[in-house]
Amino acid sequence: MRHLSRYSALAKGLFVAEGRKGRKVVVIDVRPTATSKQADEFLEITPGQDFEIATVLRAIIKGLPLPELPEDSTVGGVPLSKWRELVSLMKACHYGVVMFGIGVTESRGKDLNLEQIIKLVGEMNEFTRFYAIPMRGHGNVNGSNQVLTWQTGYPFAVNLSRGYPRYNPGEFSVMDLLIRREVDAALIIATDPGAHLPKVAVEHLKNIPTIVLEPHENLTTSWANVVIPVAPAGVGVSGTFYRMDNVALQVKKLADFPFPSDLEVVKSIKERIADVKDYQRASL
Amino acid sequence: MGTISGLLITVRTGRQGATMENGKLTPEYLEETSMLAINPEDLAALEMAPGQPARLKSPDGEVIVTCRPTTGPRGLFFLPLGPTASQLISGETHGTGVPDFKGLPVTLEPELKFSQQTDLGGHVDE
Repeated sequence: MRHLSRYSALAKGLFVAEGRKGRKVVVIDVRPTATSKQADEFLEITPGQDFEIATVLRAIIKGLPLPELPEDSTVGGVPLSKWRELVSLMKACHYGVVMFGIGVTESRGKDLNLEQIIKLVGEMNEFTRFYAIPMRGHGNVNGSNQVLTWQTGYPFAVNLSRGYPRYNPGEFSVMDLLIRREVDAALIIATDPGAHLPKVAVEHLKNIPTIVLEPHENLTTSWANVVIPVAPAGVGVSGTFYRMDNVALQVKKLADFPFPSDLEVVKSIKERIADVKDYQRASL
Repeated sequence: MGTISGLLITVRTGRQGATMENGKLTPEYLEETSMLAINPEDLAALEMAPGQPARLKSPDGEVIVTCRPTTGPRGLFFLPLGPTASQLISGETHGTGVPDFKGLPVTLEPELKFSQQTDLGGHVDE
Protein backbone atom coordinates (compact mmCIF):
# COMPACT_ATOMS: atom_id res chain seq x y z
CA MET A 1 0.00 0.00 0.00
CA ARG A 2 2.96 2.29 0.66
CA HIS A 3 3.88 1.84 -3.00
CA LEU A 4 0.48 3.18 -4.10
CA SER A 5 0.36 6.08 -1.65
CA ARG A 6 3.92 7.28 -1.99
CA TYR A 7 4.97 6.41 -5.53
CA SER A 8 2.63 4.86 -8.05
CA ALA A 9 -1.01 5.94 -7.63
CA LEU A 10 -1.76 8.61 -5.03
CA ALA A 11 1.44 10.72 -5.10
CA LYS A 12 1.15 14.20 -6.55
CA GLY A 13 3.73 14.69 -9.28
CA LEU A 14 5.16 17.62 -11.22
CA PHE A 15 2.88 16.84 -14.17
CA VAL A 16 0.14 15.06 -12.21
CA ALA A 17 -0.90 17.76 -9.74
CA GLU A 18 -4.20 16.07 -8.87
CA GLY A 19 -2.56 12.79 -7.77
CA ARG A 20 -4.80 9.72 -8.05
CA LYS A 21 -7.44 11.53 -10.16
CA GLY A 22 -4.79 12.26 -12.76
CA ARG A 23 -3.81 8.63 -13.14
CA LYS A 24 -5.27 5.44 -14.54
CA VAL A 25 -4.44 2.22 -12.73
CA VAL A 26 -5.09 -1.12 -14.42
CA VAL A 27 -4.41 -4.31 -12.48
CA ILE A 28 -3.95 -7.65 -14.25
CA ASP A 29 -4.00 -10.61 -11.87
CA VAL A 30 -5.38 -14.11 -11.40
CA ARG A 31 -7.51 -13.09 -8.39
CA PRO A 32 -8.85 -9.95 -6.74
CA THR A 33 -6.34 -8.39 -4.32
CA ALA A 34 -6.04 -5.31 -2.13
CA THR A 35 -4.29 -3.64 -5.10
CA SER A 36 -7.00 -4.60 -7.61
CA LYS A 37 -9.60 -2.95 -5.35
CA GLN A 38 -7.71 0.34 -5.76
CA ALA A 39 -7.62 0.07 -9.55
CA ASP A 40 -9.74 1.84 -12.18
CA GLU A 41 -9.87 -1.43 -14.08
CA PHE A 42 -9.19 -4.99 -12.95
CA LEU A 43 -8.60 -7.70 -15.55
CA GLU A 44 -8.87 -11.15 -13.97
CA ILE A 45 -6.88 -13.53 -16.14
CA THR A 46 -6.42 -17.31 -16.35
CA PRO A 47 -3.12 -18.41 -14.75
CA GLY A 48 -0.29 -19.36 -17.10
CA GLN A 49 -1.49 -17.20 -20.02
CA ASP A 50 0.91 -14.27 -19.60
CA PHE A 51 2.86 -14.97 -22.79
CA GLU A 52 -0.31 -15.20 -24.90
CA ILE A 53 -1.70 -11.98 -23.41
CA ALA A 54 1.52 -10.00 -23.95
CA THR A 55 1.79 -11.33 -27.52
CA VAL A 56 -1.78 -10.30 -28.38
CA LEU A 57 -1.23 -6.89 -26.77
CA ARG A 58 1.88 -6.39 -28.93
CA ALA A 59 -0.12 -7.30 -32.04
CA ILE A 60 -2.89 -4.85 -31.11
CA ILE A 61 -0.34 -2.11 -30.39
CA LYS A 62 1.15 -2.62 -33.86
CA GLY A 63 -2.35 -2.70 -35.41
CA LEU A 64 -1.79 -6.16 -36.86
CA PRO A 65 -4.82 -8.14 -38.04
CA LEU A 66 -5.80 -11.05 -35.77
CA PRO A 67 -7.56 -13.35 -38.27
CA GLU A 68 -7.63 -16.34 -35.91
CA LEU A 69 -9.21 -14.37 -33.08
CA PRO A 70 -12.87 -13.40 -33.60
CA GLU A 71 -13.81 -10.11 -31.94
CA ASP A 72 -15.95 -11.92 -29.36
CA SER A 73 -13.14 -14.29 -28.33
CA THR A 74 -11.20 -14.19 -25.08
CA VAL A 75 -7.45 -14.10 -24.48
CA GLY A 76 -6.27 -15.31 -21.08
CA GLY A 77 -9.87 -15.34 -19.85
CA VAL A 78 -10.51 -11.67 -20.73
CA PRO A 79 -12.50 -10.51 -23.81
CA LEU A 80 -10.39 -9.30 -26.73
CA SER A 81 -12.33 -6.00 -26.65
CA LYS A 82 -11.00 -5.35 -23.12
CA TRP A 83 -7.44 -5.80 -24.35
CA ARG A 84 -8.14 -3.37 -27.22
CA GLU A 85 -9.45 -0.84 -24.67
CA LEU A 86 -6.29 -1.31 -22.60
CA VAL A 87 -4.08 -0.62 -25.62
CA SER A 88 -6.07 2.54 -26.42
CA LEU A 89 -5.58 3.67 -22.82
CA MET A 90 -1.85 2.94 -23.00
CA LYS A 91 -1.42 4.80 -26.28
CA ALA A 92 -3.35 7.80 -24.93
CA CYS A 93 -1.22 8.26 -21.81
CA HIS A 94 1.73 10.64 -21.48
CA TYR A 95 3.87 8.42 -19.34
CA GLY A 96 3.05 4.76 -18.75
CA VAL A 97 4.73 2.29 -16.45
CA VAL A 98 4.29 -1.48 -16.43
CA MET A 99 4.96 -2.70 -12.91
CA PHE A 100 5.32 -6.45 -13.03
CA GLY A 101 5.96 -8.92 -10.24
CA ILE A 102 7.06 -12.49 -9.81
CA GLY A 103 3.63 -13.61 -11.02
CA VAL A 104 5.09 -13.05 -14.48
CA THR A 105 8.53 -14.55 -13.91
CA GLU A 106 7.54 -17.59 -11.85
CA SER A 107 4.56 -18.84 -13.84
CA ARG A 108 4.50 -20.80 -17.10
CA GLY A 109 6.77 -19.21 -19.70
CA LYS A 110 8.97 -17.48 -17.09
CA ASP A 111 11.70 -15.45 -18.85
CA LEU A 112 9.80 -15.66 -22.14
CA ASN A 113 6.89 -13.77 -20.53
CA LEU A 114 9.32 -11.11 -19.46
CA GLU A 115 10.87 -10.88 -22.92
CA GLN A 116 7.39 -10.20 -24.37
CA ILE A 117 6.70 -7.49 -21.77
CA ILE A 118 10.03 -5.78 -22.41
CA LYS A 119 9.45 -5.87 -26.18
CA LEU A 120 5.93 -4.52 -25.62
CA VAL A 121 7.27 -1.62 -23.57
CA GLY A 122 9.94 -0.91 -26.20
CA GLU A 123 7.31 -0.85 -28.93
CA MET A 124 5.01 1.39 -26.87
CA ASN A 125 7.73 4.04 -26.99
CA GLU A 126 6.87 4.58 -30.65
CA PHE A 127 3.62 6.10 -29.38
CA THR A 128 4.34 7.50 -25.93
CA ARG A 129 6.79 7.33 -23.07
CA PHE A 130 6.66 3.88 -21.46
CA TYR A 131 8.73 2.06 -18.86
CA ALA A 132 8.79 -1.29 -17.07
CA ILE A 133 9.72 -1.62 -13.41
CA PRO A 134 10.14 -5.04 -11.79
CA MET A 135 8.46 -5.16 -8.38
CA ARG A 136 10.96 -6.60 -5.93
CA GLY A 137 10.01 -8.65 -2.90
CA HIS A 138 12.49 -8.02 -0.12
CA GLY A 139 14.44 -4.86 0.56
CA ASN A 140 17.46 -4.19 -1.64
CA VAL A 141 17.06 -7.26 -3.88
CA ASN A 142 17.96 -4.78 -6.58
CA GLY A 143 21.26 -4.01 -4.78
CA SER A 144 22.91 -7.32 -5.66
CA ASN A 145 21.71 -7.00 -9.28
CA GLN A 146 23.07 -3.47 -9.54
CA VAL A 147 26.48 -4.23 -8.04
CA LEU A 148 26.94 -7.45 -10.02
CA THR A 149 25.99 -5.58 -13.20
CA TRP A 150 28.52 -2.78 -12.76
CA GLN A 151 31.20 -5.24 -11.70
CA THR A 152 30.67 -8.06 -14.23
CA GLY A 153 28.16 -6.81 -16.79
CA TYR A 154 25.51 -9.32 -15.67
CA PRO A 155 22.82 -9.05 -12.99
CA PHE A 156 22.76 -12.60 -11.52
CA ALA A 157 23.75 -16.21 -12.27
CA VAL A 158 27.34 -15.09 -12.90
CA ASN A 159 30.08 -17.72 -12.93
CA LEU A 160 33.63 -16.47 -12.27
CA SER A 161 35.35 -19.85 -12.12
CA ARG A 162 37.38 -19.17 -15.28
CA GLY A 163 38.61 -15.85 -13.96
CA TYR A 164 36.22 -13.88 -16.16
CA PRO A 165 32.44 -13.53 -15.82
CA ARG A 166 30.09 -15.86 -17.66
CA TYR A 167 26.31 -15.46 -17.47
CA ASN A 168 23.78 -18.18 -18.07
CA PRO A 169 20.53 -18.51 -16.10
CA GLY A 170 19.51 -22.17 -16.10
CA GLU A 171 23.16 -23.22 -15.94
CA PHE A 172 24.84 -20.95 -13.38
CA SER A 173 21.72 -20.02 -11.38
CA VAL A 174 21.55 -21.22 -7.76
CA MET A 175 18.77 -23.76 -8.25
CA ASP A 176 20.38 -25.43 -11.24
CA LEU A 177 23.84 -25.61 -9.65
CA LEU A 178 22.30 -27.17 -6.54
CA ILE A 179 20.05 -29.73 -8.24
CA ARG A 180 22.93 -30.86 -10.46
CA ARG A 181 24.95 -31.18 -7.22
CA GLU A 182 27.87 -29.27 -8.76
CA VAL A 183 28.33 -27.18 -5.65
CA ASP A 184 30.48 -28.79 -2.95
CA ALA A 185 30.62 -25.87 -0.50
CA ALA A 186 28.41 -22.81 -0.04
CA LEU A 187 28.90 -19.34 1.43
CA ILE A 188 25.42 -17.93 2.07
CA ILE A 189 25.10 -14.18 2.64
CA ALA A 190 21.90 -12.30 3.49
CA THR A 191 19.52 -14.98 2.32
CA ASP A 192 17.61 -17.92 3.76
CA PRO A 193 17.59 -20.86 1.32
CA GLY A 194 16.20 -23.14 4.05
CA ALA A 195 12.94 -21.19 3.97
CA HIS A 196 12.58 -20.40 0.30
CA LEU A 197 14.31 -22.93 -1.95
CA PRO A 198 12.64 -26.20 -3.02
CA LYS A 199 13.30 -29.22 -0.81
CA VAL A 200 15.77 -30.92 -3.17
CA ALA A 201 18.06 -27.87 -3.19
CA VAL A 202 17.96 -27.57 0.61
CA GLU A 203 18.76 -31.29 0.96
CA HIS A 204 21.90 -30.85 -1.15
CA LEU A 205 22.96 -27.80 0.88
CA LYS A 206 22.56 -29.86 4.07
CA ASN A 207 25.00 -32.44 2.66
CA ILE A 208 27.82 -30.00 1.88
CA PRO A 209 29.80 -27.58 4.08
CA THR A 210 27.81 -24.35 4.47
CA ILE A 211 28.85 -21.04 5.98
CA VAL A 212 26.11 -18.50 6.71
CA LEU A 213 26.48 -14.76 7.40
CA GLU A 214 23.23 -13.86 9.09
CA PRO A 215 22.03 -11.51 11.86
CA HIS A 216 18.99 -13.62 12.81
CA GLU A 217 18.16 -17.21 13.62
CA ASN A 218 16.40 -18.68 10.57
CA LEU A 219 15.67 -21.91 8.74
CA THR A 220 19.22 -22.07 7.32
CA THR A 221 21.19 -21.25 10.48
CA SER A 222 19.69 -24.30 12.24
CA TRP A 223 21.63 -26.73 10.01
CA ALA A 224 24.54 -24.69 8.61
CA ASN A 225 28.04 -25.85 9.57
CA VAL A 226 29.27 -22.36 10.46
CA VAL A 227 27.08 -19.38 11.34
CA ILE A 228 28.81 -16.00 11.56
CA PRO A 229 26.53 -13.42 13.22
CA VAL A 230 26.69 -10.06 11.46
CA ALA A 231 25.18 -6.65 12.13
CA PRO A 232 21.99 -6.11 10.10
CA ALA A 233 22.65 -3.88 7.08
CA GLY A 234 20.89 -0.53 7.27
CA VAL A 235 20.40 -0.87 11.04
CA GLY A 236 23.79 -1.78 12.45
CA VAL A 237 25.85 -0.86 9.38
CA SER A 238 25.63 2.07 6.97
CA GLY A 239 25.70 1.52 3.23
CA THR A 240 23.93 1.92 -0.09
CA PHE A 241 20.42 0.62 -0.65
CA TYR A 242 18.99 0.35 -4.18
CA ARG A 243 15.31 1.13 -4.37
CA MET A 244 13.38 -0.91 -6.94
CA ASP A 245 13.28 2.02 -9.39
CA ASN A 246 17.12 1.84 -9.34
CA VAL A 247 17.57 4.94 -7.16
CA ALA A 248 20.56 4.50 -4.86
CA LEU A 249 19.89 5.60 -1.27
CA GLN A 250 22.41 6.06 1.53
CA VAL A 251 21.30 4.27 4.69
CA LYS A 252 22.70 5.30 8.06
CA LYS A 253 23.65 3.13 10.97
CA LEU A 254 20.95 3.42 13.65
CA ALA A 255 22.37 1.36 16.50
CA ASP A 256 25.59 -0.31 17.60
CA PHE A 257 25.80 -4.07 17.26
CA PRO A 258 28.52 -6.25 18.77
CA PHE A 259 28.95 -7.98 15.39
CA PRO A 260 30.97 -7.04 12.29
CA SER A 261 29.35 -6.16 8.95
CA ASP A 262 29.04 -8.63 6.03
CA LEU A 263 31.77 -6.63 4.28
CA GLU A 264 34.21 -6.92 7.20
CA VAL A 265 33.65 -10.67 7.48
CA VAL A 266 34.08 -11.32 3.75
CA LYS A 267 37.18 -9.08 3.63
CA SER A 268 38.82 -10.89 6.52
CA ILE A 269 38.01 -14.31 4.97
CA LYS A 270 39.56 -13.10 1.70
CA GLU A 271 42.71 -11.88 3.49
CA ARG A 272 43.00 -15.15 5.35
CA ILE A 273 42.69 -17.12 2.07
CA ALA A 274 45.44 -14.93 0.55
CA ASP A 275 47.67 -15.63 3.59
CA VAL A 276 47.10 -19.39 3.27
CA LYS A 277 47.86 -19.25 -0.46
CA ASP A 278 51.08 -17.29 0.19
CA TYR A 279 52.10 -19.85 2.78
CA GLN A 280 51.37 -22.71 0.38
CA ARG A 281 53.42 -21.03 -2.38
CA ALA A 282 56.31 -20.36 0.01
CA SER A 283 56.38 -23.97 1.16
CA LEU A 284 56.48 -25.42 -2.37
CA MET B 1 -15.33 -35.72 1.85
CA GLY B 2 -13.25 -35.98 -1.22
CA THR B 3 -10.22 -34.75 -3.04
CA ILE B 4 -10.00 -31.74 -5.30
CA SER B 5 -7.22 -30.84 -7.70
CA GLY B 6 -6.01 -27.41 -8.66
CA LEU B 7 -3.03 -25.20 -9.23
CA LEU B 8 -0.80 -24.11 -6.37
CA ILE B 9 0.37 -20.52 -6.52
CA THR B 10 2.95 -19.45 -3.96
CA VAL B 11 2.41 -15.90 -2.72
CA ARG B 12 3.59 -13.42 -0.11
CA THR B 13 1.23 -12.24 2.63
CA GLY B 14 1.40 -9.29 4.98
CA ARG B 15 1.24 -11.55 8.03
CA GLN B 16 4.05 -13.69 6.62
CA GLY B 17 6.27 -10.60 6.34
CA ALA B 18 5.32 -9.45 9.85
CA THR B 19 5.79 -12.83 11.54
CA MET B 20 9.18 -13.43 9.89
CA GLU B 21 10.46 -10.28 11.59
CA ASN B 22 9.77 -11.95 14.95
CA GLY B 23 11.60 -15.05 13.79
CA LYS B 24 11.14 -17.80 11.26
CA LEU B 25 11.22 -20.40 14.03
CA THR B 26 8.10 -18.99 15.73
CA PRO B 27 4.79 -20.90 15.65
CA GLU B 28 3.13 -17.82 14.10
CA TYR B 29 5.42 -17.95 11.03
CA LEU B 30 4.81 -21.69 10.58
CA GLU B 31 1.07 -21.16 11.00
CA GLU B 32 0.97 -18.39 8.39
CA THR B 33 3.22 -20.16 5.86
CA SER B 34 1.04 -23.28 6.24
CA MET B 35 -2.24 -21.47 5.66
CA LEU B 36 -3.73 -22.21 2.26
CA ALA B 37 -6.16 -19.66 0.86
CA ILE B 38 -8.83 -21.23 -1.36
CA ASN B 39 -12.18 -20.42 -2.89
CA PRO B 40 -15.06 -20.91 -0.35
CA GLU B 41 -16.88 -23.23 -2.78
CA ASP B 42 -13.79 -25.46 -2.95
CA LEU B 43 -13.77 -25.51 0.84
CA ALA B 44 -17.44 -26.49 0.85
CA ALA B 45 -16.80 -29.19 -1.77
CA LEU B 46 -14.31 -30.76 0.65
CA GLU B 47 -16.94 -30.45 3.43
CA MET B 48 -14.42 -28.52 5.46
CA ALA B 49 -14.70 -25.57 7.82
CA PRO B 50 -12.16 -22.74 7.77
CA GLY B 51 -9.11 -23.54 9.92
CA GLN B 52 -9.42 -27.31 9.50
CA PRO B 53 -6.27 -29.20 8.48
CA ALA B 54 -5.89 -30.57 4.98
CA ARG B 55 -3.29 -32.54 3.09
CA LEU B 56 -1.78 -30.88 0.04
CA LYS B 57 0.01 -33.19 -2.39
CA SER B 58 2.25 -32.49 -5.36
CA PRO B 59 4.30 -35.02 -7.35
CA ASP B 60 7.27 -33.98 -5.16
CA GLY B 61 5.84 -34.00 -1.66
CA GLU B 62 2.99 -33.83 0.81
CA VAL B 63 2.32 -31.31 3.56
CA ILE B 64 -0.32 -30.54 6.17
CA VAL B 65 -1.90 -27.10 5.83
CA THR B 66 -4.89 -25.30 7.26
CA CYS B 67 -7.41 -23.79 4.87
CA ARG B 68 -9.02 -20.39 4.86
CA PRO B 69 -11.51 -19.00 2.35
CA THR B 70 -10.43 -16.21 0.01
CA THR B 71 -11.80 -14.35 -2.98
CA GLY B 72 -10.49 -16.01 -6.11
CA PRO B 73 -11.51 -18.52 -8.75
CA ARG B 74 -12.13 -22.17 -7.95
CA GLY B 75 -9.17 -24.49 -8.38
CA LEU B 76 -6.50 -21.95 -7.45
CA PHE B 77 -4.76 -22.54 -4.11
CA PHE B 78 -2.61 -19.78 -2.61
CA LEU B 79 0.14 -20.64 -0.13
CA PRO B 80 2.81 -18.23 1.18
CA LEU B 81 6.28 -19.22 -0.08
CA GLY B 82 8.07 -20.69 2.90
CA PRO B 83 9.22 -23.97 4.43
CA THR B 84 5.85 -25.67 3.84
CA ALA B 85 5.48 -24.72 0.16
CA SER B 86 9.14 -25.67 -0.44
CA GLN B 87 8.29 -29.32 0.31
CA LEU B 88 6.00 -29.45 -2.72
CA ILE B 89 8.06 -27.71 -5.38
CA SER B 90 10.42 -29.66 -7.60
CA GLY B 91 13.91 -28.48 -8.42
CA GLU B 92 13.18 -28.49 -12.17
CA THR B 93 13.65 -25.04 -13.69
CA HIS B 94 13.26 -25.97 -17.40
CA GLY B 95 16.60 -24.29 -18.02
CA THR B 96 15.41 -20.91 -16.75
CA GLY B 97 16.87 -20.85 -13.22
CA VAL B 98 13.38 -20.44 -11.72
CA PRO B 99 11.48 -23.39 -10.21
CA ASP B 100 7.72 -23.75 -10.79
CA PHE B 101 6.73 -21.55 -7.87
CA LYS B 102 3.40 -20.68 -9.49
CA GLY B 103 0.93 -22.91 -11.30
CA LEU B 104 1.99 -26.25 -9.84
CA PRO B 105 -0.68 -29.01 -10.22
CA VAL B 106 -1.63 -30.29 -6.74
CA THR B 107 -4.42 -32.18 -4.96
CA LEU B 108 -6.08 -31.24 -1.69
CA GLU B 109 -7.97 -33.46 0.74
CA PRO B 110 -9.16 -33.15 4.34
CA GLU B 111 -6.65 -34.43 6.88
CA LEU B 112 -7.94 -36.45 9.80
CA LYS B 113 -4.84 -38.08 11.25
CA PHE B 114 -2.42 -35.17 11.67
CA SER B 115 -4.47 -32.35 13.06
CA GLN B 116 -2.24 -30.62 15.62
CA GLN B 117 -0.55 -27.26 15.15
CA THR B 118 2.81 -29.04 15.41
CA ASP B 119 1.89 -31.21 12.42
CA LEU B 120 1.79 -28.20 10.08
CA GLY B 121 4.29 -28.00 7.28
CA GLY B 122 6.47 -30.87 6.26
CA HIS B 123 6.00 -33.09 9.31
CA VAL B 124 4.17 -35.93 7.62
CA ASP B 125 5.67 -39.08 9.13
CA GLU B 126 3.99 -42.32 8.13
